[in-house]
Amino acid sequence: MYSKINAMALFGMEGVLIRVECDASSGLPEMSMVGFLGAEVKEAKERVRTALKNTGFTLPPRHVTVNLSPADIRKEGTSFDLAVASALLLSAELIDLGKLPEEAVFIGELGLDGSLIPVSGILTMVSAARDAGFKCCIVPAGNAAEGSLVEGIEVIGLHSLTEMPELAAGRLTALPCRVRERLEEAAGSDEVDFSEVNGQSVMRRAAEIAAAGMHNLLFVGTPGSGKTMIARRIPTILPAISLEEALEVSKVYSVCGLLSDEHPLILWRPFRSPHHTVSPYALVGGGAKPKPGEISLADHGVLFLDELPEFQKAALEALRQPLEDREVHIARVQGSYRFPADVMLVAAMNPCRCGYYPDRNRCHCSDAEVSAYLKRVSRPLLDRMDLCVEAPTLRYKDLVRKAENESSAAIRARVEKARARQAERFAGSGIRFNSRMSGKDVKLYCPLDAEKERYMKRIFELKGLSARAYHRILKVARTIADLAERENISLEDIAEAAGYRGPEEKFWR
Amino acid sequence: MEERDYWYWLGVTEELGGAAAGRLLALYGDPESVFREKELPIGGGQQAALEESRKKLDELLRERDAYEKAGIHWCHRMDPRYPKRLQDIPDPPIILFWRGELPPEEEKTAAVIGARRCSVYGRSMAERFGSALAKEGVAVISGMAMGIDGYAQSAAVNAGGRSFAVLGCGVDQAYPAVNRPLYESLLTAGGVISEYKPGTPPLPYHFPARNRIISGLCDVLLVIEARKVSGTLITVDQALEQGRDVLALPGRLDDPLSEGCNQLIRQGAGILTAPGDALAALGLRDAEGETKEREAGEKARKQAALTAEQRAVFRALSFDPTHLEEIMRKTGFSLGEISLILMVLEEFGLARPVSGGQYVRT
Repeated sequence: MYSKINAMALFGMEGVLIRVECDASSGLPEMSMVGFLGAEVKEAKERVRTALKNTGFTLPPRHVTVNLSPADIRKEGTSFDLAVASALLLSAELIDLGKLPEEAVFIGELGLDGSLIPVSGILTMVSAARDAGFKCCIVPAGNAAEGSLVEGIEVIGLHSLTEMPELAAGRLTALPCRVRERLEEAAGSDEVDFSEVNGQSVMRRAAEIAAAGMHNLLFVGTPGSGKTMIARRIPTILPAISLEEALEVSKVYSVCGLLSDEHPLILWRPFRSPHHTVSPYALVGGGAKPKPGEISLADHGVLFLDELPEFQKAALEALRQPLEDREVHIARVQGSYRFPADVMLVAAMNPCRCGYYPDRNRCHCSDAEVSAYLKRVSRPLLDRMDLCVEAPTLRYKDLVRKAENESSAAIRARVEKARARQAERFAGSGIRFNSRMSGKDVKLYCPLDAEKERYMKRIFELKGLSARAYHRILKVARTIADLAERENISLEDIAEAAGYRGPEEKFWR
Repeated sequence: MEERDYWYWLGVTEELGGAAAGRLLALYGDPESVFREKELPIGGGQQAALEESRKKLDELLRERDAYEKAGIHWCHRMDPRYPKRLQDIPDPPIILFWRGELPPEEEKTAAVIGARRCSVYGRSMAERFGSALAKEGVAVISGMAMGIDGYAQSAAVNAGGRSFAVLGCGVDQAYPAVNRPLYESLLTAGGVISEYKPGTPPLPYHFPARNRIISGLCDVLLVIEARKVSGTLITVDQALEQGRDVLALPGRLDDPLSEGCNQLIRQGAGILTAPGDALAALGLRDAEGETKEREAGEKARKQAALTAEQRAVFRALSFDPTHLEEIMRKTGFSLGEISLILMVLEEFGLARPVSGGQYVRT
């Protein structure tokens, strides 16, 4: 008898519907699997047969052919086991699944004892199933919590093949979708808070501006001046993560197999801090079977690169395209993959190898060494850093101060107001933040009167700035004005924004 | 063959080195005799190398003509253009190459020298003295090195004065490369000078030798910043040997960059507290001269014109780098207000940024 079960394959961040067909006919007892299969999918044959035997199902001795279609896509991964087993049971007429073969998608790996083993990418596959119009997903029990985050589709968790008769009888029920409650519970319960940061008002200020306009931020300063501490707290002043954003980020984690039954959803804005030895592929994604990299894991959150000049040149250069497009594109023969990469890049670096430049009594680097160290970060990357601040050395008084510092919640309230102003201004234009304005948008949204135009000209001549700096200064000035709830950019905003320029400009040396 | 051709040969023959050539010249009287003499009192290897260079004389002279066409001048010791100041130093260079001009005999000259890796304070002082001397018509001599040398010379040129750089490489190259803009401006506002022929790379042992020309060309030597063991102090030794006045800028006791200067003062060098001190040493004006007053007056006028807020920010600054954080703490103003005021101070020439977030008075 012929049977058909729906399954799901994962291609990068996309779920692709796969039909598992099975036909049992007379002939020598044999089972063959076809359909452009990877090694681990071919091995499903042995796993499924043994699992069925060990859970009490005896397959009649017939000639069985299993086909995974469409047959021109290479199938990889172990998530087809459950679908193959179900198709075998159906064609052997050992079970009657009723309407499930039409209405449900079967996902899961099998152990030899018939138990279902969790797979990665459930969130993505279940959303794809919902979008394809399915009503139900059968997944390993260990993935049920994650799968049930998708609204508009039932997700049933199976522990073992022994539960198949109950599934057929409709006695298994779906977990309730609690995604909104989970997010609400998590809001405001960050592990760290800005109130733990003493002093450093300039860096705090820069972090606030960066968060309000999603500007990329660079800290330059001596070791131990609190650069990492502040960067770690930036996600706590960004507006709370929305449901859509949480699901998008969780999908990335799901594909990488980083979600667990206890923590099936990313509830906070991610903060990723890869070590400086990270390879280009680990940073932006890649591999023979492309996987998302750190930049995608930091989607809608903060990607923090500590010791920026120590990173491999290739890794830093690979960041340029995703930072521009807010997406990673990876092309392979089988097709091209896209991973989200809407991040705020925060980087930290020392001003020289020893870290004390320009204090000439402590810094023993020669001018050539200092400029060689700064040059390790390429100009195009520095051009993408909207704000740059120099961290002052901490005074002991600030270190031990017990005074009440401003909390993340208070800063976040101001950031959210500034975001609301941006949303109002950019309504319908496709731009979300000040930092995303193009040169044309800057002209449109940051109009300068004659006085301010003259002032910009003076800044340029005085500081010897590059033409590229022009737009960056205005974008940052726009965010500063938004934070101050000013309709128009003021001279002060421009002066402050011009002060946040980095080591690529002349006055550093 | 003219006499000047033999001078040229003796001057550019590197096998002899400056000192050996000087000795041979003293022994034989003129370069032609050195050229003709086959049995010179020098080592066998040098002898053979010299023989080689004798054969290449024509080639050398063709090269020289090409240099002259390219605007690179040269003169030898007996040439009337040869600087008088150099004639009476021990071991004067056999020949000099230059682009632009040589320091005029009738004008006073001062050398401003100091550390390559200088402090922010040292830079301010180098610029202050360079520019003040230039305004008084004193030519500034230095080595166009990174740090003090370059800052003093740039300031002199920017103030509309003249400056001369003595290089440790050929005059056709701008070394170090960061001072290329200065090099270019010196071609019209002074000159670049070297005893090495064009194309010679900046080799380490050229620099101590080049220092004797810096001190030789100046009437007074000003030391801005020097570590205890440094090339700057080598120049000072040579200046003393040549009988030049040396003035040192006093510094703080715990500052390694001032140790050399303080030590010089202890040993009896003149003390440099204002451009007037240098002018007095040059016989141009007494130590309490007007420059000091005029400088102070200019600054005071600018400061008096400041508003109360601007003055508060200015007071928060010092000659050491001060971070914005510190300025905020001292004044209580917001970052925007401070940024606005610092821009004004920068335009007045009262402050300047030293890196991303630190500012100094100038």
